Amino acid sequence: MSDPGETYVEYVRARQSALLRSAALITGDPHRAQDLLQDALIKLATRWERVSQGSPDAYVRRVMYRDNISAWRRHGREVLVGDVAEGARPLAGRDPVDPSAVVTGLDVRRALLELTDKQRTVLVLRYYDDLSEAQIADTLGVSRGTVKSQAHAALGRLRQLLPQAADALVGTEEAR
Amino acid sequence: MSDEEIRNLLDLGVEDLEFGPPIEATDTWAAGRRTRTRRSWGVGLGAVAAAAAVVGVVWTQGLGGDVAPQPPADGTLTGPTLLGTPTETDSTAETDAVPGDRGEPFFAQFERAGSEAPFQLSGASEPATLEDLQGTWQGPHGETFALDDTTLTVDTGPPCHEGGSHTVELTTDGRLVLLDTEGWEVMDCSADEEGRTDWRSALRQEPLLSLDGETLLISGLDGAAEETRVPASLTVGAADEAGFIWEDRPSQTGVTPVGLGADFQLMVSGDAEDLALTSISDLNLESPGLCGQVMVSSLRSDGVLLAGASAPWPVCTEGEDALPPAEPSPAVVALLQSGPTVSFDDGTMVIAGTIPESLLGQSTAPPDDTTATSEPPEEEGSEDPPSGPEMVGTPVVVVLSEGAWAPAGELTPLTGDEAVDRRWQLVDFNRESPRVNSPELDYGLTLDDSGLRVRSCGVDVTIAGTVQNGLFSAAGEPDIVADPDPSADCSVPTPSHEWAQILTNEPRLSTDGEILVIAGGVGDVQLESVGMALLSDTVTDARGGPTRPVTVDDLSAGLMEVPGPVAAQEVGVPGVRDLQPEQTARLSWDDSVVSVDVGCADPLRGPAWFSQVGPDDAPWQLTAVLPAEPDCQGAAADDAELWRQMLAHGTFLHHFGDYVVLDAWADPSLSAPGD
Repeated sequence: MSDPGETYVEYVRARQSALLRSAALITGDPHRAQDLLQDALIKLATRWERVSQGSPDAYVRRVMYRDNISAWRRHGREVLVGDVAEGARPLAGRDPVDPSAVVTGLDVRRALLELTDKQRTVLVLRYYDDLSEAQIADTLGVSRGTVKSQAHAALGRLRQLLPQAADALVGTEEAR
Repeated sequence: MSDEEIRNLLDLGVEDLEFGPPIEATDTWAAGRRTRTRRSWGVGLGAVAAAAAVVGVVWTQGLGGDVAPQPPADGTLTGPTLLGTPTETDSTAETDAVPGDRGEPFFAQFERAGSEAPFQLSGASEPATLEDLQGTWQGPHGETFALDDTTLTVDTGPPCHEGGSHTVELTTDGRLVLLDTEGWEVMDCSADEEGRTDWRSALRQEPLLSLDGETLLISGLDGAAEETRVPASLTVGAADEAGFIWEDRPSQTGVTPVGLGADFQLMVSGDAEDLALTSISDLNLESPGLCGQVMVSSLRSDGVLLAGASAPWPVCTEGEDALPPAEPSPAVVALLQSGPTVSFDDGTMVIAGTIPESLLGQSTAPPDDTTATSEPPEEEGSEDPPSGPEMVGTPVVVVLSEGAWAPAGELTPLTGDEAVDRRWQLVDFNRESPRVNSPELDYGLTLDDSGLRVRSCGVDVTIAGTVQNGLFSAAGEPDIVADPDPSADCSVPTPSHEWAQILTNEPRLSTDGEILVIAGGVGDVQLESVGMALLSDTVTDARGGPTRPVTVDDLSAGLMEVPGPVAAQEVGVPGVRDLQPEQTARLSWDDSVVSVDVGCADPLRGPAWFSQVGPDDAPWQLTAVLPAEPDCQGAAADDAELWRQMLAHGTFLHHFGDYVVLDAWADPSLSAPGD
């Protein structure tokens, strides 16, 4: 029987990059994302023997999502957007976007932060982490209908915020 | 366009981000396992409150006694001892990884199928076991819970009949853990009957299952509301000889206090031994002339208090005996319903649990309540809490000495007898090392039976009064000689009018050998209490816990300021001020000199004294002389002034687990924007 510590270390080394990028999209801040993931991985270690028999990714995502909401409530949005806000004006105060302009990473992060927490999380889980609606519903503790409606609203809002990428922002479900 | 294109767009959002160094898997593994080990002792005590399962663990010990509620444990991290047979689990079994930390409290009584509900609960209960629970149970709204070995089948009852089957475990403290959460059949049915529990959500929050006689009590937070809950505690003292009537009592538990209020009493039904309750069958929040609120309740053997919904006392709601309804503090009601832990010591009961964050503003006793809990501890030898005048005036500290500068770092309150025939000269700190001013023959501060006189270059103030237990009480107006040294070129650090204000604001006089330290106030500003939490540099996984005194070694090791929101919401420190959220202040002590780094050009440094005030386990008081004109601007300068005032007044320090809680006073104008 393998040492649980070894399997845990293997898992973290293999998955932390992907999980960190998801966390960065959810929080908008790479440092906050790193803290969020680190806390989740510590919690994962406390339950590794049980969680490792199922899907550790689902566990970590769930913890990160809930901790992010808690942190947002405790510290306010400015803590989470620090990196994004640096050198950037809020979208609401910007000049009209040129639809032919190239979308930058900063544009994407700022647009994501205009979404609600739930919309942003659903969007990332659905299209970045490639989870099914059922998996997202279970991860977030909401109904599948909520997942569908939140994803639809998120894409709609992003099309407004990123008109230069509007063509790309049509999900599979919406295209049907 | 495809999902892949959306993914590519999102990928763009992270591809230019700069992350820090990779997280070391071995570090997070070690941290997690340490946490698990540390938490396991709490479970060993059997003291778990699902509703108190917040990050900031709350358990308290009265500073003046041995009151020590057992720690509510965080069920997400306990690594509980399981009674059920371990079973295979899937990912969704872990989706309640942060259970019990939010939502509305629920409390439901279940009876065995076919049996009658008792007239009332006995008020004494035990954590349930899987063996106890085998069979079918009926809930208050027609719910049916059937347990067969480790399979729990739930039917939420009419009209919707939602539910499903789950494999479950039960911890030693009666916490129900679902090992799978799939298969819950959701019906398209709106039956939002008042008082009905959202069982789908509630069961995922690892509720507490307890047995009061033959009645199964299921309680916890339902997870349905998103509002964060914060630690809080209620300290009450017995108002009768039996221990059934309780009133507010001042306390320092290290967490946000809630108060019943002067007009309310907590009356309980149950059994008591030597003012310690062994059962509580109902809780009544009573106010004279009003119809009180009552909650069905049960006290578990491990100190967890279970309480149901609050309702007006039936006998006074209608008819000839009807009374206007009482409106007890929502914070108190929320605390009692949060599944708090209860402990007793010598006629004092401490109830430690959680309240919704939005009730923080309502959590303390009203200002005119004589039992307000934010008062600092008593001065040694005094019978009463510090009186109003001590909290008036911008804090200043003046240091004098009879001879050479040789501080030992600990102060003793000056008494009238000790003050006779002594003469203290001002100490000049505007040099590399403190120096006692060379006196003229009649210069210095002297005390006799009639009062006190201060004479230095440019200063001549005499005031009638007495010194008792370290406090100087003026008996009249000061007599100030205007310009007593007209031909002298004087440096006057404390002018006559400031001396007059200090001496009339009941200053604290203490000695350290030949040194006299006078801590007082200038002006008439009413000070406000200030709280902070500090942590040793070496603590990486801080936890709250029992209180204990702070030592010089703690100070010598260095203490870092905890961010204000964490101090307030996770540690539960009242009155937190964090003037520089981006700056972490550091406090340290070295050979009777304190150093506070708030981000000025140099750390603030000055002579300091760390003294015990009160009984052995009472908090120690840190007094220091910090510079009034630091080399910084803006928020850093404000922060420097805040620290100067706190340490000039004398700040109390005590441990709350890993944290060091700072309890001080300062000018209310030194507040962060938005405070």
